[in-house]
Amino acid sequence: MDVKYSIARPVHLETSSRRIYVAFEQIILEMRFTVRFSIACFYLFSSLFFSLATPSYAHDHEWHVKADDFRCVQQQVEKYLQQQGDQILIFIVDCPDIDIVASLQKRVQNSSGSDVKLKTNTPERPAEVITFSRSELLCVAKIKIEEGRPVIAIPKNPSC
Amino acid sequence: MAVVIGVAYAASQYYLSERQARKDDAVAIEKAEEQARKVRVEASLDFIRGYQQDHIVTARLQLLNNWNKFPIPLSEIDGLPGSAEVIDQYANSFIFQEDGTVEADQLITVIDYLDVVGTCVKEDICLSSIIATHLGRDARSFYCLYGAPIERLRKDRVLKNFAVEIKELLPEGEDCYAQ
Repeated sequence: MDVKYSIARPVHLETSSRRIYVAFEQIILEMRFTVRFSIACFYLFSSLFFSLATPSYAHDHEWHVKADDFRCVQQQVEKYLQQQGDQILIFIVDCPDIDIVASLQKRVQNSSGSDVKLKTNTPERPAEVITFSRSELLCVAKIKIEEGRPVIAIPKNPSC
Repeated sequence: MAVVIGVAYAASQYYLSERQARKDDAVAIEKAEEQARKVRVEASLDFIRGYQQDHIVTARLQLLNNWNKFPIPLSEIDGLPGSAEVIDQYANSFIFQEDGTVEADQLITVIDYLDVVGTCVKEDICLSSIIATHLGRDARSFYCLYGAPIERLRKDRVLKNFAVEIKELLPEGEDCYAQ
């Protein structure tokens, strides 16, 4: 025969200890949430910080250009191909004027080659100068431009 | 009275000899510092002379000549949005040919050498002022113009420390990028 033993406790004591336990549990749960939330915020802000603060040469794989300028380049591909060399330099903001000398006359710079300051292009700051290899430029005309966007992203190394 | 005079005399002699010893120490320290500076100057000059070795001159001239293929003076795209990527594309085209061949020997030769000079400056074995005057501009040119192939070589060939110490040679406050 099984005999079950139980310790009799005053009801009021059990209630108060239970209340303390529940309150304690509540505090722990809130602390857990706060800690998890803090960790999540830390990861979020640190990844944001590093993505913004770390200088990198690994620029993205697209040119950000004004759609109208790029349409112009697409129409002038044959003329740009007359440029010497394997890599074709395009002052996209000067299109349809493809004459590099004319483009240079619009810009007066005094710095030497070794002092050149580089600037990346972004959707907010579209490229004024771009480049394609000779074979890539042949594919440029086939790139479809999304309608209704003033600035578009174009692959840096298009293939066709 | 004689004892007092004797003590005073001994004290003054002690004071004078201490002063002389301190002077000697200061002179010795100064000489040692001067000698250390001479060693650092000599180490710096050795590296500057080494930069004129035939194989390094050939390599750096080749790297600079590559930019003759750029249709205009580089300064003409200074600060233009897109100039960073244009330089990257050109630099990559010089090193990584379209047919798949990689012509990185010159770049590795020059950057490796400048990395060693950077280590010398970092470890305070070379005088940074002398090195910066003679090699600073070249270091900046190669580091900024060949940034993209450097990055790619680091990844492709797992050269984690490639072009790391060269940063010690870059002129202060002269970032590759325009604000």
